[in-house]
Amino acid sequence: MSVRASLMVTCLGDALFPRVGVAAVRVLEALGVRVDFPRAQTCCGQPAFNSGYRDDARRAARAYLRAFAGSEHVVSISGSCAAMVRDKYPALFEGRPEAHEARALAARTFELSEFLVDVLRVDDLPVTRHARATLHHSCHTRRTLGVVEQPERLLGMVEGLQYVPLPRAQDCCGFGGTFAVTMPVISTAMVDEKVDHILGTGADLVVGLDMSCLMNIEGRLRRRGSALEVRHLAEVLAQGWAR
Amino acid sequence: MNRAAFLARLRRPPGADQRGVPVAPRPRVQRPPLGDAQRLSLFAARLKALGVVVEESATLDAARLAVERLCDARGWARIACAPSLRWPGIRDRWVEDARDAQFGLSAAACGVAGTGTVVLRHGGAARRGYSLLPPVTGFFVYRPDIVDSLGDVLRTLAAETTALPPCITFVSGPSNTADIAGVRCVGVHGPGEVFVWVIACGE
Amino acid sequence: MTGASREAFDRRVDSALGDPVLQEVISSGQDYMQALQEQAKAELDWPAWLDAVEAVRSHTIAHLDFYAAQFADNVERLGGRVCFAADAAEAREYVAALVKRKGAKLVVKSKSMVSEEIGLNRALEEAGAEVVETDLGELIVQLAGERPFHIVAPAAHKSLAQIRDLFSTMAGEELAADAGVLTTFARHVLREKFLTADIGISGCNFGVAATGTVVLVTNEGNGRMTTTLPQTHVVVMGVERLVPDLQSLEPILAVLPWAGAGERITAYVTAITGPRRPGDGDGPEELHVVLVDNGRSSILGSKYEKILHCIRCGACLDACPVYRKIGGHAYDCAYPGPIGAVLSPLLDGLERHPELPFASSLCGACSEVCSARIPLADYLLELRADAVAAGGGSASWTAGFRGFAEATRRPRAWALGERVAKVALRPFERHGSVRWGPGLLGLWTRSRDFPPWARRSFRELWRSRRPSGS
Repeated sequence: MSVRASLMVTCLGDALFPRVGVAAVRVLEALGVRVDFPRAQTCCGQPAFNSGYRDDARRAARAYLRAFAGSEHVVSISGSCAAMVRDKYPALFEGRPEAHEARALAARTFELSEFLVDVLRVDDLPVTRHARATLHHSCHTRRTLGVVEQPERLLGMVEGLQYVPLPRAQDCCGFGGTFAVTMPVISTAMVDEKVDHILGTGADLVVGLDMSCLMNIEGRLRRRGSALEVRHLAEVLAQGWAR
Repeated sequence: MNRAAFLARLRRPPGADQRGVPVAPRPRVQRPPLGDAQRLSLFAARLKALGVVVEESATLDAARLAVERLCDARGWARIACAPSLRWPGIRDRWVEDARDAQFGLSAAACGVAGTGTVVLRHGGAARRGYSLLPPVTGFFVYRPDIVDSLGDVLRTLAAETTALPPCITFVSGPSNTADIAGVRCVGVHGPGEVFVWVIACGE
Repeated sequence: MTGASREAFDRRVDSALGDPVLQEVISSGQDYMQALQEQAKAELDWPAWLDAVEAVRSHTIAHLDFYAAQFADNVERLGGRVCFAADAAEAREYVAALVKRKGAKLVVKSKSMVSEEIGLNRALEEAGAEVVETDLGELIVQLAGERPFHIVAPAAHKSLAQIRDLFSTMAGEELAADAGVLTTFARHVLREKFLTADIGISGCNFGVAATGTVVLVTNEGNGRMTTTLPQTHVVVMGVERLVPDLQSLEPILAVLPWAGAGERITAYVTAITGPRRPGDGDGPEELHVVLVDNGRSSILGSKYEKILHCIRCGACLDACPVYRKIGGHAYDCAYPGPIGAVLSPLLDGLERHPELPFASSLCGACSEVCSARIPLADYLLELRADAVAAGGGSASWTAGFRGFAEATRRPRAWALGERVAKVALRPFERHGSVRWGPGLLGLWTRSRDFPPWARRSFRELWRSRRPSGS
C-alpha cells in the first residue's frame, strides 16, 4: 500500500514559488507517494503569531486544521511552517476544543527532507547534478524540527554534486518573518554576512529547505550583483531526476 | 521593606502559606573515578595548562627546600605565610603582612584533579592575603588530599557539621583577565605566578 | 513601534553597524567563545550537566521564599546584616545610608550587574563617596561613562587604543598601547584603592542558603580583594541568586565557567561565610547582604518564571546573530543581548523597552545555548503577544492581521488576494525582479530584490493538472 501525503505549499510557496511545490510533488510521486493538495490551505498563521497577534494566528491555524483534517502525512516545503504547526499549534490550542486535533496534525507534519529520510527511508536517489553546492540550514528547520543531517544526506546521494559546508551555518540569515521589514537594517546586516560566507565557499549553487530564507538570501545576492543559483532542495532533486 | 513582607512576595503563588522544608534535588553526572596515578597526572596536567609550575616532593622537607631554592634564585627577602607553616631554614625572611611580601605560601586543604584547583580554608592565622596580595604565590598540597572533582570537595564540605570557615578559596591558576582587547594577561590583582608543590606522603 | 524610543533604538543600531572596528570585535569575540564552548561540549556530558543545572535552578525558584529566609537567617546568625530591598530605591538607600554612617570616602566594587540595574554608583557618589569599579572591564566602561557592553566581558567593545587612551587620562601620562603594560598600570592604581577603601561592594554569583555563604566566581582577583581588604563588605544580589546547599553548586560550577568564559574553571571561586571572626588575620569586620527584589517576585509564578533560572553566563550573547550586529549598547539596559531583551522588559516594564522583544529574528540560537535551558525565544514571542494584548500594536498591523486571519478561512478570497497582489506588483517588476516598491515592500527592496509574483499560483497549477481537484 502506498504512502499518502498532502503537500503544504505555504503562502509564500503558493504565490511566489509554485515551481518548488511542483518539484516537491514530482519527487514525492517519483518515490511512489500518492500526493494530494488540500485546496483549503492558505497560511499557517506564523506571521500573525510571531508578531504577537495570537487570536488572528489561532484563526488561521484553525483553518489549517480543517484543511489538513483528512491527511495521512503533511509534507511542507518550508521547515519554518512545519515548525509552526509542530511546535506552536499544540500550545496555541491548549485547553481548547481543537487541542487534540492540533496535536494530531503536529504529529503527522514533516518538512520535506525529513519526510524523505525519516519516513520514506530514502537512501538512494537516481539524481544527477553537476555542481559545487552549499546548504543553508534554516533556523526553525535546524533548531525546532531538529532536521540537520537529513538534507546533507540527500545531497550526498546526488551524483556529481560536491557538497561544501557553509561556515557559521548555524547563524540566522536575518529573514525572521516580519523582522525583515520591521528591523530591515539589522536584517540586512545579517543577510550580508550570510551572503559573504556563501560566496566564500566558492559554491555555484545554494540549496535550502525554506523559500523564505532563500528569498532573503537570493534577494541580497542579486542586489549585490551576484547571479549565484539559489534552489530549494526539491528543485535540485526534481531537475536532476533520471527520466 | 520588612522581612516578612519581602518573603511573602516570594511565595509561589504569592501570599500562599509557607510549605514544609523542601528536599533539594541531587542531580549527579557520573564520571568514572580516577586511579591514584591518573589523578595525580591529571592534576599536574591541568595545573600546567593553567600556567602553574608543579613540582613533586617526596617529603615536606623536600618541598621546603624547593621553596628555599626558588626564593634564593629570585632573591626574595620577604615571604609571607601562616606561622604554623614556617620553618627555620629561612627564618629571617618570614613576614606577617602579605602586603609587601614578594612571595606568599599557603597550605592547601586539598587539590582537585579535574580542574587543577587548590582549595584553601581561610580563617585564624590562615590569611586570605597570603595567596592574594604578593605577586607570586605557592601552595603545598599533600598527594592523598587530591580528589577527582569539585563536586567531591563540595560534598565533603557539606557533610561537615561545624560551621564553614569564613572564607574558602578555590584557586585555579594565576589571576588573569582578557578584558583588555581580549588579550590574556596574568597578575591583574592577584598573583601572576603560581607554584604548587605536591608532597607525596602525609605528615 | 514608532516614536522617540524606536528612533533612539535605530540610532544606536546604526552607530554599531557603522563602526567596522566594533563589528570585527564583536564577531571575533563570538567566534572565539563559540569555539571554546564547542570544546566544552566535547569534553563534558553537556546535556546531562544542563539537566542538573536546570534541576537545581527550578527547585530553588519554586521554593525561593524558603531559601531566601534560610539564607538570611544564616547570614544573620554568622553576624552579617541583611537588607530586604523591595525595589531599586530601597537597595540604594540602604547602601547610601551605610556609606554616610561610615563616613566612607572610597568604595571599591567588584563586578555586580544588580548594582548597574539599580543605579547604585550614582547614589553612592551623591552620598559623598568615590566609587571605583575594579573589574578591569567594568573600570574601562566606568572611565568611558558607558554601560557594560556584555554581561561577562563589559568592555568587549573597546579596542586596545581606546583603553590606552582611557588609562592614560587616568594616569596623567601617555601609556603604551600594550595589554600587559595597561594591566600592570591598573594593578598598581587599583591596589592602592583596595588598600585604602572603606567599603567593598561585590555582587554574588550564588548564595548558598544552607550555610549563608556568598559565592563569587572571578578571574582577576578583584572579587577577593574587595571582600578581603576593606573593613566593610556589602553584597548586592538579586534575591533569585540562591542555591539550596553546597552540593547544588557542582553542576553550576561545571557549566558556568565554560559557558561564560570558555574555561574549565575560573582562577578564583570564593566562598564567603560571614564576616571576620575573632582571631582571624584578615577579612572584613562587617558584612551586609542586600537582597534585591526589584520586580523579581512579580515574575515568580508567571509564564516567565524560568527567566529567574538564569546563571548569567552570557552564552546567549555569544550565540545571538542580532547581538553580533548591534552589540550590547543597542539594548540600552543593564542586561544586554537575548537575556536582556527578555529580562529588561520584565523588570522595567514593556513600555520602557518596547522594541526589544521585536529586535530578534526568532532564530532560537539563544534558547539552544542557554545553560539554564530558558526558552528565551519563546519568551520573546510571549512578550510580543503581551505587547499586542496591551494595545501596543499599530493600527495598520492590527487591521492587517485581522484581514489576514479572515482571508485564511476563505481560500477563494485568499486566492483573489493573491491575484490582486500579482497585478499590483507587476508595475514594479523589472527584468524578473522587483528592485523598488512602496510601503512594506519598500522596506524589503531598500537592500534586497524581491522575487516576481508567479504567473500562476500553485493552487492554479494544481487545478489545471487535476481538473477533479482533491
